[in-house]
Amino acid sequence: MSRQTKVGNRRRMLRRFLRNRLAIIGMVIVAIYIFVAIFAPLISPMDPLKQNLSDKRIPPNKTHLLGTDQFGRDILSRILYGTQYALLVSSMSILLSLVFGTLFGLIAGYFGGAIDEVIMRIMDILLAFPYLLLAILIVSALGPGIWNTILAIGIWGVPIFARQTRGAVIAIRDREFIQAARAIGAPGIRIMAIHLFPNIIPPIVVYAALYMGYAILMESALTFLGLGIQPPTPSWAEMIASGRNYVIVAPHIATIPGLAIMLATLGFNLLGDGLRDALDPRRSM
Amino acid sequence: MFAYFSRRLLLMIPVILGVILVVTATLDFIPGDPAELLLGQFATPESIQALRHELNLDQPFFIRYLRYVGDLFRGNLGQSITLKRAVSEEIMETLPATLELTGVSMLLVLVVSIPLGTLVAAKPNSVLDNIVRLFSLAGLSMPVFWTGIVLILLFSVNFRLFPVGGYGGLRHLVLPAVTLASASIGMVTRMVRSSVMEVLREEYITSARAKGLKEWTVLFKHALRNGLIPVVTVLGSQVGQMMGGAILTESVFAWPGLGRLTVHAIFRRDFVLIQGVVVVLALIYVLVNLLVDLSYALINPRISYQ
Amino acid sequence: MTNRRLISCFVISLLVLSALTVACFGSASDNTLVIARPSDAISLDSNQETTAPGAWVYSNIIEPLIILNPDMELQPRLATSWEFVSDTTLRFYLRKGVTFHDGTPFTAEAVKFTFDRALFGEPRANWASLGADPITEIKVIDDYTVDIITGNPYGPILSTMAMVYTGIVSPTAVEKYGDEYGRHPVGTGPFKFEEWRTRDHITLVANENYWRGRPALDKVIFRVIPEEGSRMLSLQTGEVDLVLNPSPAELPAFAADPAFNIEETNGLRIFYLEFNLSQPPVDDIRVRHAVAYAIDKASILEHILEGAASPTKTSLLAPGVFGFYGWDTEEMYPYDKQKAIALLNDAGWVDEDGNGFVEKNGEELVLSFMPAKGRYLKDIEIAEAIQAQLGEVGIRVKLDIFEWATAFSKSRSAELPYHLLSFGWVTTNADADYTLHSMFISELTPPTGWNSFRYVNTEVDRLVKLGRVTVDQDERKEIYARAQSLIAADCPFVPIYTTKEIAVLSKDVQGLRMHPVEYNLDLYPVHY
Repeated sequence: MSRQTKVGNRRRMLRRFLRNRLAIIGMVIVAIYIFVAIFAPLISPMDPLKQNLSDKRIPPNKTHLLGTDQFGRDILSRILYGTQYALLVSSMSILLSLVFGTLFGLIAGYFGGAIDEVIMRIMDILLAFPYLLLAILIVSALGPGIWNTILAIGIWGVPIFARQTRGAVIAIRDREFIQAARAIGAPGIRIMAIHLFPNIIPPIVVYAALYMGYAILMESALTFLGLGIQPPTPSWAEMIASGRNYVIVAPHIATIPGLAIMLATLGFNLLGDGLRDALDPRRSM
Repeated sequence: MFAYFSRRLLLMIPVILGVILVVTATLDFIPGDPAELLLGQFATPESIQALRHELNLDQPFFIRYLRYVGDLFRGNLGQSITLKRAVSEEIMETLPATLELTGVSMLLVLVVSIPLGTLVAAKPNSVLDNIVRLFSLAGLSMPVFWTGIVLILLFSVNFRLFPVGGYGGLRHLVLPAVTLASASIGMVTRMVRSSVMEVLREEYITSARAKGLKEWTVLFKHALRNGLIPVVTVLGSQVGQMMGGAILTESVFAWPGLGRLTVHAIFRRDFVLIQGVVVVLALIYVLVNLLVDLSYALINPRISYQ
Repeated sequence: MTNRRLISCFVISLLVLSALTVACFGSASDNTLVIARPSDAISLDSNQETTAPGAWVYSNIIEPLIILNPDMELQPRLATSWEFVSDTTLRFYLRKGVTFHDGTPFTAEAVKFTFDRALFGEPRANWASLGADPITEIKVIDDYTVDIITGNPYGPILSTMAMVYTGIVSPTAVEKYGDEYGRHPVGTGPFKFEEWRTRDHITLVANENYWRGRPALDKVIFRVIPEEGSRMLSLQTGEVDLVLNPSPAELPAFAADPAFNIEETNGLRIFYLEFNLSQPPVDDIRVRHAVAYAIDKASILEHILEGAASPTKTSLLAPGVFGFYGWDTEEMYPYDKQKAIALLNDAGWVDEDGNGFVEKNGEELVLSFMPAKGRYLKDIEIAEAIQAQLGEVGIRVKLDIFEWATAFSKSRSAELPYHLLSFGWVTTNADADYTLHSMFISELTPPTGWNSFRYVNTEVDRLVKLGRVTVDQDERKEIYARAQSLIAADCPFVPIYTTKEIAVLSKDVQGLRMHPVEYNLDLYPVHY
């Protein structure tokens, strides 16, 4: 493929992406969330941990834009700070999936044979678990805590990245010019790497964006079940779980954080979708 | 066909064994002596020793694992530490409630997603298509436990149409089933849309149209049938999604099924029960995937020759 | 045309579904009482389940020989009278003509069987160590006379025999069901066990042959509704008739509503923050006092419990218990942040780096707190409030939350790496010995005993052991008063609230009286 075609391709992909309104919306949403996560201490109106029992369960008003929870803590501040935890856990989990998944996929694809079989069987075993069950199993065995949660969510993504990478490696490995290069004696790995990355990186980026959404939902599920982080760290799902008790007298406590989760997931889903469409418009959904 | 089926079945076995291995190994991390916990704090050291021997706890890990597999195939999943009864019994009692819930949810998903997805596939980028697309994306972005709480707020608290939870007749089933279905409807609708669209592009469709067949026939007799293949796959994967969703939905609605049993087992650190429930659920999932593969091959016989 | 057919199919199926939904209005028969409670029982065998979710149910299935009525007076039940034939032998004369639900006649043999099984069986009953240890033998004198023999004179023996756990079980049923007896309980009580759908509901039906006469209710259904908001909602919609453990936030609304009544009485359970004295720095009494002063108990009572519980006295015994001695906790440890900080500084803990938390020798004061979740009213909310309040005086609290049963068994192990715990404790037989002996004797630390504080005080040991073998009740009161004063001064715990046993019921439900000891839920007199 000539350099010009490659550059042309990239420009085309970018144009396709920019034309997709939903994708732009997704990107904007994600950008907002990242901004909030970084600048939460600056933009947050109040201390998310400060309890003020006599101000409990106030519905949204001028002082507390989203109201207060059962301890009198400002909900808006807790939601803003909650972004930090949500994005941190999801991105670390995806990173874990990505790193280990790609690694295993590379090894399996390049070496083939028995190594490939073993690795793929292990991936099959991981895929045999319904998504939440594996995470629940790990967290209940290792105990709640941020690193165990990251491990639990990350493990589930490993087979997916592994499969993707392995497929790309296999597709390249058997191409003629690689074999020709090997015949000459040139290091096959180097040539493979040059041709491999353009094939791997785009789908990985797409999957990473899409699975950020999943990771956010998984982390929420674990926290809701009580397997997440301990108080008093602000966490959207924890706010929903504890707000359930007051759903009749103060429904805002349990309902508002859900919107935060939904919007974050939606943003990443739209972004991921847009990226996927830009890369391969035939598969538009 | 038979060869294909038996080959897939054989391939399933190492996976199942692997699943059981992962579960057993992971649960080894939980501290506590099951024998001591089962007998309570006043048990004599002798009786604890005897029970440890009975439960194979004095054996190295691999022997325990093999014995567990052996017991599993004979239907013995051990004794729950916290419920003081056989795990298999507890599971048999609670499984039907979950099957009821997931069955009805799956039905809802099919009833809504297939017609809807097919419709918008026929008219891509129309107003309807965009609305459906937005709702689908929104739907699969909503945490399922939150959806449940919002539905309770609307339909139980506000409109008093349905009970807040618990097991009972059809009335008790509506909200939990809708909640569980909501998590999958978005995804499946999009899958149906994209696969039907793909099929519609194929040549034989154009030729069918050229032959003058009615749009209705084209759409449903040809496009859908072939478009069903990836849909079947998606449904298979949605089963896994639903199992996770069931755990959350059953918690929100106090539905006495396997999901709530799982939550109970986890909170109570009842690792015998956790082991049993997770293994059973994983086995069901593997089985469902096998069936999906099988029906895949039935719909498209070319696959079985691969 | 395609689209229309499709849409109409869609709409029709939706209509059918909704029609089926609305049509199904399963309502219970008029003479059935439906009760909502937060969690399910583990077992209906009193030997295995000593907590409320099970006791509420089986207290209507089995009956002890004597009981404590809501006014805390001893009343005959399966025994008609009793007398002390010696300092160590208590003789009961049993009621004649009583049969178990399965037809087995009730005799002294059944009494011996029940107690032997509980106290000397393998494994022993959970309640055996809660006041029944001194019992050495049950002797059958004749079919309707039985002796309870203790090793030494045992002051609290009568109140122990009145505990709901000592209800007499049918030997035939135990033999028939063996290990499964807990799921098929059989007794002599006003209601018989019918069915149990785990984590959903337990059904009891009236015992037609009950010796006091058939109860007014035909059926009782105990349902499990974990969220307090949902429980109240079910009551409002009429799905349930009675709610136990109601939501404090909604009590005022229900109190004002003429369609509902609230039954309440002062309970005997104290919810408290516990110090593990084997873990420095809470072994330093100044740190403990600082914690006590830092907790705003009044605010907790007002804003978290919202009137659903009462303030405490300095003892772990409630005022209704025999031998109680204490004074207002608020008097001894008023809410005083400045005092708390001063005490910490005194003990060497100062906030040198200005981050809001105190240190000593460069190490921050971090207390690990293992609260129990899901068992006591607002337990987790109170733990979070305490975490925030202690933070305000510079103590960092790290929470490690476990579901109650797990926290409970962790607290019963020999090693306990936490500084703080929280629990509720009720003196089930309403006698001071029950609590003081189990919890404060130096050598009775877990796993043998219940002294999870690891509290050591030889004078308290002496007093409590003396009180156990003293028979004169006035003497015992004095002894216990001295012991409780010593304990209060040592501050091994900070009491937070005293329960009120509260039930909210629809106005048609009459005859229910709440009992200070929460396990006794007497449904016999209830009627519509």
